[in-house]
Amino acid sequence: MTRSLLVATAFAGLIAAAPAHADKTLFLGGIGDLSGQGAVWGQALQGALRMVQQEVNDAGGIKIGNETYKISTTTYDDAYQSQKAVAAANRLIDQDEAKFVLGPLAASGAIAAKPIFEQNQVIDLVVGAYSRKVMEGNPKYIFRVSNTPVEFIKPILTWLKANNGDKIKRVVVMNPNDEAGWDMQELETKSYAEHGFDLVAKELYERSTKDFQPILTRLIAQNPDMIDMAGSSPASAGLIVRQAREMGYKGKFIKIGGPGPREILTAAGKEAAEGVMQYIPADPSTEGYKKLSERFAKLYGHDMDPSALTNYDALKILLAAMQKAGSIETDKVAAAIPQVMPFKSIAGGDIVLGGKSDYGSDHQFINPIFVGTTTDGGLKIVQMQ
Amino acid sequence: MGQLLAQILVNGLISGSTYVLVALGFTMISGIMRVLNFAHGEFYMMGAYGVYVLTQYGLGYFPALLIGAIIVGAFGVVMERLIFRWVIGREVNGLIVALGLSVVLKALALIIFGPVELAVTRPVHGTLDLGSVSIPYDRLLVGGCAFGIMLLFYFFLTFTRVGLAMRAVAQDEKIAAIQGVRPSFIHAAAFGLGCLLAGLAGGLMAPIYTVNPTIGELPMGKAFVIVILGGLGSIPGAVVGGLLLGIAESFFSTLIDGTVSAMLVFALVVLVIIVRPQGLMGRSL
Repeated sequence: MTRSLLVATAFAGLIAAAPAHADKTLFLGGIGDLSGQGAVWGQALQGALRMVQQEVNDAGGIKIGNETYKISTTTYDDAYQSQKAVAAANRLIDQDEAKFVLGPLAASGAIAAKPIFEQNQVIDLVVGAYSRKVMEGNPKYIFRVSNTPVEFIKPILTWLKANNGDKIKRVVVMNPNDEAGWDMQELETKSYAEHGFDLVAKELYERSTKDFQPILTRLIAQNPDMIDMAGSSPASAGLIVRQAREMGYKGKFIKIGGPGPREILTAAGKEAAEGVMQYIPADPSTEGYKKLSERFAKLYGHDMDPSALTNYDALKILLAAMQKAGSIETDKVAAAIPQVMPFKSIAGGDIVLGGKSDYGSDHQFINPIFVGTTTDGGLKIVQMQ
Repeated sequence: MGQLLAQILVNGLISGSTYVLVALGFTMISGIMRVLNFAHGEFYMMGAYGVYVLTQYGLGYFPALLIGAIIVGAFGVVMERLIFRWVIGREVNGLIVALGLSVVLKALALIIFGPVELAVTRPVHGTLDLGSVSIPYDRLLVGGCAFGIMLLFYFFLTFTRVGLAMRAVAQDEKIAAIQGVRPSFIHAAAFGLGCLLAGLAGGLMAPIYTVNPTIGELPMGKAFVIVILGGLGSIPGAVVGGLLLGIAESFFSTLIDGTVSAMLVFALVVLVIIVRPQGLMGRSL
């Protein structure tokens, strides 16, 4: 009897002691396109979550307040569609009990999921989602972590005017016919005029388009000096470059929109892609970028898209804000995000918080801005700011 | 303006010829088996991946195209024996089964190859300049191959025993069976041949565009429009419908814009369905 009592007491003691030593789990959700046209960006989003998870868990967890947390992550595929983004947001909140989400990528998805995150007091770090509507209405829990054309179009056009202003006068802009494309076209129409370029044609095409020859026949007839593929997916941009070159177009190309140098090179081919300029969110020649890219390559077996670095930095900012707040309560974490800014990017350079003048609230992460020019299959990088 | 019209016509004929290639297999399967194979786009996708994988192993483009298409055709025969033979003649059941297979094949491609865009090295480079009209050699090659395959297909259906048997089964399966034709063999052969054609189309287009798990969706949509336009089950209808669609898209996209083009093309299809419910050259629905 005494022996049984001793065993029972020891067992009860073990059970009582166990929670004090066990790590808690911090869940980070992701919503991104893993199967559609924006899959390269979706994989970059998922990859950033996985790399942060791996890093934190390998170090034994992250200490927030008096607790140590291990990280778990799940990314749902929204196939770049708003209804699937809403379904993913509901699933993350209702089933996974997520309090922190990275994504969605598509503007339509981010706008549709915004009220769900706001109502449930879930911090949503939106990636890409170029529409200004994403930030409208002074949201409390929505932060956009990547630069949008509002942030990078002016420095890029100023640089372009100063360096190629004598060669580039007539410009054609091509955008997909959706929320982001419309918003982008409106912004670019204004910006190109302000910087003294002559916007000779604007084209909105369906995202599913693969054969751009009919559209390019009409656009090239306008004798443009430069074609801006703006909000086109990297794969579409690559096809535009290749098909325009095949049709004898000799002018320049730029993509002042979502990055994707590897996909553009793949779709256009090395020869046609030579000289294509594009917005790049991070400098691939830095040590921080190279190390992160190596880790990404181990996970996915191919080069990292630069947007993965932006997502990685954003997650590190989120974790820093949690530590600053000493809590994972979303109100406290949202309030702590401005306190950890400016934040040093893994690739160098400071990330600051801004956006009040453009969107009404300082919920926009402003990252360093670069332009990459495809040269002999690689990228020649110029920093804008 | 004349130069522009010539360029539009050439663009339309070349894209139309590739549409025909996809639509031929789709309409043949629906004509002979009364099955709307909505997984047809995924057989196209498999043809494209086939060329990609085989060329990665050092095979030349043309052998890879041929071997890839044969593999896709053989896979089609297996699918017919395992799945589609149970739904022959039941169009709604067949459609659901095909949609399910489409989802499975796309998901498998995603698991195996991932979502990244893959490129197939082009077998030919450069552009043929005919005065004001320019045609990239790779598209010219695709157009030429497509017309060649159409001719071969026509001779196969007109002059070979299997081809004639296929037409007999399409017209009346019971009468064909009384004449000694084995419908089960013809069903498998027709399904395999239809998938082989889709695989050929995918393999031909792989170097022009990029390869990813969803590349079959757009050609599938076009093939369906073409067979409705030309007449469900009608081979000549698929040819006429495909070329008409290619040229109409080229005209509207060049002279107006892509979005209005899609709208006008569908308006044209609706008009044809109202005026000729059986399609331009098809049997009555």
